[in-house]
Amino acid sequence: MTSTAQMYGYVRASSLGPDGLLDLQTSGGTTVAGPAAHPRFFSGFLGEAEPAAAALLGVANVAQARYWRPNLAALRDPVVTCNGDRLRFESFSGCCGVYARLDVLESGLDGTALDRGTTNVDVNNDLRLALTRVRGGDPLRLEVGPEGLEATTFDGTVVERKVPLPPRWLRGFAEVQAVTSGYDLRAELRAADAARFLRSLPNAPRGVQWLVPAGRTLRLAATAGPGAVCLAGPQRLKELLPLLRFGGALRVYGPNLTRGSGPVASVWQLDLPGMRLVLTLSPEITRGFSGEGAVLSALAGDEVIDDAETVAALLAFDARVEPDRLAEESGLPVARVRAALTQLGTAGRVGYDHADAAYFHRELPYDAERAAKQNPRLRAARDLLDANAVSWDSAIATIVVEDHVQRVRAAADGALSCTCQWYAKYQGGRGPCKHILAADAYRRGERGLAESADDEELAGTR
Amino acid sequence: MSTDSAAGSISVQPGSAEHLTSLLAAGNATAIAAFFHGMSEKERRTFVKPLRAQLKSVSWRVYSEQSSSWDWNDFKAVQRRTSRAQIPASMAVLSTASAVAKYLRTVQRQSTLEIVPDAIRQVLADRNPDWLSELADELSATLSPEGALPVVQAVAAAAGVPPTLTPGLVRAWAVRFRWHDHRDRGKAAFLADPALAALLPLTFDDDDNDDLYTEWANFGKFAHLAVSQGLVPRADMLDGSLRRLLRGGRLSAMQGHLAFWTAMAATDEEIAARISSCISLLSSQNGTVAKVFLASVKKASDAGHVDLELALEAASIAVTRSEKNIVKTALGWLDALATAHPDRVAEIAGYTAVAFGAQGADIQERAVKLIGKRAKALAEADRVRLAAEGEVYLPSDLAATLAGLLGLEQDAAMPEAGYLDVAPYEPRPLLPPIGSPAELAEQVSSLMHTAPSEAMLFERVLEAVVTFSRADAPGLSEALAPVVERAHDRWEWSLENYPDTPSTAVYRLAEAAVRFDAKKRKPHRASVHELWPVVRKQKPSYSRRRDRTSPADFLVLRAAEYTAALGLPDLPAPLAIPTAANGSLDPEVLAERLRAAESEALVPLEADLHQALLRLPVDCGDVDTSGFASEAGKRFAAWVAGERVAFPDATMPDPRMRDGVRIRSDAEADAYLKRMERKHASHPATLLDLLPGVWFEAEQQWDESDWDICWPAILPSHPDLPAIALAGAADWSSVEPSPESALALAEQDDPVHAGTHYVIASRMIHAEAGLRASGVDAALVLAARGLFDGVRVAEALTVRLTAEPAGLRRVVPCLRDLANGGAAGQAWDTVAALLPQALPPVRTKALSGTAELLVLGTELAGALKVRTSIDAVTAAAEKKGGSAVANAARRLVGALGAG
Repeated sequence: MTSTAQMYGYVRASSLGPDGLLDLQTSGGTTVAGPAAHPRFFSGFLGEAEPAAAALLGVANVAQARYWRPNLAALRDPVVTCNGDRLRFESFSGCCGVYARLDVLESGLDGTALDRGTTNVDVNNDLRLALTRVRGGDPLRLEVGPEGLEATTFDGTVVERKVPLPPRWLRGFAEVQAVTSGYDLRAELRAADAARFLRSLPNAPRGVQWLVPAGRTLRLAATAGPGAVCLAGPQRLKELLPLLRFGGALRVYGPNLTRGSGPVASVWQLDLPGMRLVLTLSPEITRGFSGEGAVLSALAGDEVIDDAETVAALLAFDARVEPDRLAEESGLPVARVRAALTQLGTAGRVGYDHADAAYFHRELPYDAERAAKQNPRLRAARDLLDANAVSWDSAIATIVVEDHVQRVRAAADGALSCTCQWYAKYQGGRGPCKHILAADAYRRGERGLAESADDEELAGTR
Repeated sequence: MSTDSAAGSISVQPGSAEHLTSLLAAGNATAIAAFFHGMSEKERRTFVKPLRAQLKSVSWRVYSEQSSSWDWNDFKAVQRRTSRAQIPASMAVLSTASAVAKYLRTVQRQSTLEIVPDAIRQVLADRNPDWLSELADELSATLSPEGALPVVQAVAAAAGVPPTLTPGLVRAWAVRFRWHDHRDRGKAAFLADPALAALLPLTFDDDDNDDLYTEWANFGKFAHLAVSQGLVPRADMLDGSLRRLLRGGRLSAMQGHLAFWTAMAATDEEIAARISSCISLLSSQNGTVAKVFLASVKKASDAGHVDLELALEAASIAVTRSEKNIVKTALGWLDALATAHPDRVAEIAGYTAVAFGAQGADIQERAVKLIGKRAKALAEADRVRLAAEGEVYLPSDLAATLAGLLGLEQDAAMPEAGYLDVAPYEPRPLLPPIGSPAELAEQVSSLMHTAPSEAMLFERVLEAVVTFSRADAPGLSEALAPVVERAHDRWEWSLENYPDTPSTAVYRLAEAAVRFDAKKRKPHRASVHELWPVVRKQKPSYSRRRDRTSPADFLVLRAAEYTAALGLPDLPAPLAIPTAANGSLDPEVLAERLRAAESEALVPLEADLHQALLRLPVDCGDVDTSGFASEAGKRFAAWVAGERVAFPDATMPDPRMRDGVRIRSDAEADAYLKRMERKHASHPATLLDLLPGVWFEAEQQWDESDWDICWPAILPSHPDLPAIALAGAADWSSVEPSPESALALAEQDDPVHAGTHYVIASRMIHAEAGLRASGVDAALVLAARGLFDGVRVAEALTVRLTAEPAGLRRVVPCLRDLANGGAAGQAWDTVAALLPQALPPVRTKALSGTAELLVLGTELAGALKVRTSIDAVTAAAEKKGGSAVANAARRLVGALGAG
């Protein structure tokens, strides 16, 4: 799949004036009413000026960063979602390894939510510079969206910028929610302990470190184990450091690990006055979220896609998506609603808030769904099906790939494993390999194009 | 390219595409202008294709095909000629400014941009397109900065419109001066440049220009010169430099810009005029930037140029930083401000209290002292608030000191440091046998990529290969075939040329299982003596001499033994499969296995039997060894009766010798390595012959599949020997242990042996954070098993510190982690035993890191209510002066005597 491009068009550049007005301009996106060119979401005041500016700057910095191969430029604008009672600013690093989100909560906002929806916001160099100069605890005046402009027209667009959106970036941004939505709280550090801990982290540009709770803090451990948190590239947490002086607790979320587990993603949440800054790190600095493949199995099924459409129709940029309520409204079982939400996550249509342990509705202003469907592993699996390369014999599937075969084994608990090198290397830690995907799809009754064509031909002759 | 063509003298139809092509090839820019003179837009469009075609034809491939000689310089000359003509031609033909810019970018990529300004001017004046005024900006935005400026300037001159000062234009202007030497004419050209004043300050607005201000580029020096000569407004440069520093960025970029700022030597008045930006830089992610600006702001404040509110704000930001020197400066400044403004003491004390959360104990102490100094000036409510903050952030003794200084009774119910108990030890469960050939294939595949996660995995693979080959050899072959086939291509060369390693040995075993019925295969029993030259075979030019062995050779030889024997009709089941996850083998089970083999008339393989014997406990209890008729059974009985091999002396290597090898190459270090080499077997007859030497400076495998996590399980009843190998390496040719191996060792240690303690010490002092963490993990495993002896670790650390005195700084955080992990008592034992070794009289001067060790001791002593004094600490506390060690010693003495 070739890289697409995103055209940002703003009526004027975002700015922070001497009068203390943070005027964030918007470009494209979706509101409750539908697509909008320059949606207007909020007018009022934002928490305490200094931490708010510093946290916004952190989100903007992540959008501009590449923590792996840092010389390549990546200048994609952050995304803002208004869920009615809160604003969420999100960004994703150019290397696809760090996701940042600033949740400005109800207690941090004083003003009017004018609309609900998601859009891009312009964060230019001048604004970043101005944000670094903000100090003091007074509220910051905030406008999200152009004042006095029809939201559905493109009139007056004066700031335009075109940036490439590689498919892996799109997939990663969308999938990060799905990868981490099952994570639990692993550690909670008080402000002073959090500051000490983050400042004492050794610099390991490429390595993976394991952390385990130890008293009031975290300590390094040699290997993964129950309760451990994976930290790959501590330098990717640097956006938290300037915020430590505002004294918030640090919460760390991670998956359940067993002894000897491979690297996994981790979620770091710093509490600020009326706000929360969340950084989600990929399992290794060289790995982006796009390759994690945690949701490939879900993507492979048709039923989930249908359920996702049903569930999506019931969403209205809710700050908390309640699966029980959706199940009631959609008539689907809760388990299927959850699977549907995971599916929506891969398409960038919901995010996950660990503090609330709930999904929230947003629509990324990119075509992330297409990127997700064009996942290379999924495509390769479909190619295997099309080539009629899969056959099952009892609990073993044989997949003929060019000049060799691979075998997929179904364990007693239904888990699938493979003899291929990908599986040998990651042991399922980066999602199923193409052989497992193909074998699983075949087992569920999916067949390739060749066989389908034969069937149709046969039906025609009848 | 013919000479005629180059001179433009070939005969072609005037005004035709061929004519244009010939002019382009000749590089005749002036003729290009004449060619298009008076041409209509429609006519011009017909020349787009010839234009592009000519550019495409100027490639090395075409040139080398057409030319008799491959003259690179001549080819470059052709390219330059073409470029000269292509530039005006593209402006005459293409229909938009954007198209021209993109096309010229292609030309630029292909060679360079050489211009003939008159030709450009003539072409553009003649055509006068609508987009002429935009062209200069399009070019500066699209072209690569190198060499772009002359084109942009020529176009701007032709359009009569000055180009917009875009980042692209600024960079195109600046890069020309990047590499000029001081002595070069470039400096004069730079200083004489008419655009200097306008463009130089703008270089700070684009991060791409960071390379202009690096240490090795002279651009920054030229810029200083320009400012000092008054050619550029100094204020503009200061503002620009600040803008760049505020944006932040990579360390190297910040260093360059900070050096520029420092060299500008901003005055106090200039700092005061930019105070807002300067204060913002105190939050910079770069510590050096913050340090420089703290000094500047403080100096301006001291000179009376900065308002008190701003000074307080600056100091309150600086005190939150992690850099000790910055916090110290900030505390001193806050103290001075408190003296100068007694009415603001309460507020300033609040800022000072932020340092309670600092990492360094000396910083905390200083903050306590400074607040204590102002106690009288503080209101009751402020004192209570500060004491409460101290209780949250400070160690108990410092919190008590603070409360005392503030004239308050400390809260009796104040929480202690709150060390948890160590989590109970849960023995690692025994890995179950591999259930099917398909599962075996996956495990083999994973072993070819990564080291096993535990020793039992290798054992289970061996067991499964033998079991399945005896039960269903074709089925096993079919299952393993995909794995072997896929790996074969990747490994073929290495297998033929390099010695066997655990990883390749497993591959060979799998390969033998796949080709079990191959005609060439002749299954046989091979002794270690026979196998040794086979597994050590290497190509003659292999750069590494193999003078030493490794515990990994146990794994290699056992796999090789089964590789040779696979397919024998009387292939026996393995004897050496452990019965516990730590590698030990129950004597009763081994007796049972031997009896089963006897009953089936199967003779165990030799290396397998020897490995099984090595896994037996020292005390085999009252296992029944009567009635064995086979040689193997009798050997087992004799082993149980005490007829065993002699184990080498488990003396831990001298770290000074190891460091000698690593750091210097002298006779003593060489002698050490030679001594170690002599311990290794050169051609073992049996597996047991490897025992005396493998542990000493074990040789690294070429593919790094040392699998050291398996080593403790080779000799589970003698953990001190694997410990020697897992305690570190002398040089690159020895195995650098993995973090996981320390845990495996700790899981099988016993109260008798001390080797794991030595490994823990060597890990805690290691330069790599991961290995230090493994030392703490291993210590916690021992603590959970009730085997950790702090005094032993302190003894081992003392030996290590002799070789590496600065290592104490790395040890202290490990001991803190040990305490936080639940072994606070054991951590205190270690600290108490280590302190006398770090202080006089054992050392002439306290080791670096002793103050931190004393502070940790104070925290532990307070929490554990230890009241046993330490003479060396008492002596250090009695010394006069206020050094960090003396202060910390006094605190510990205070804590120990608090009862």
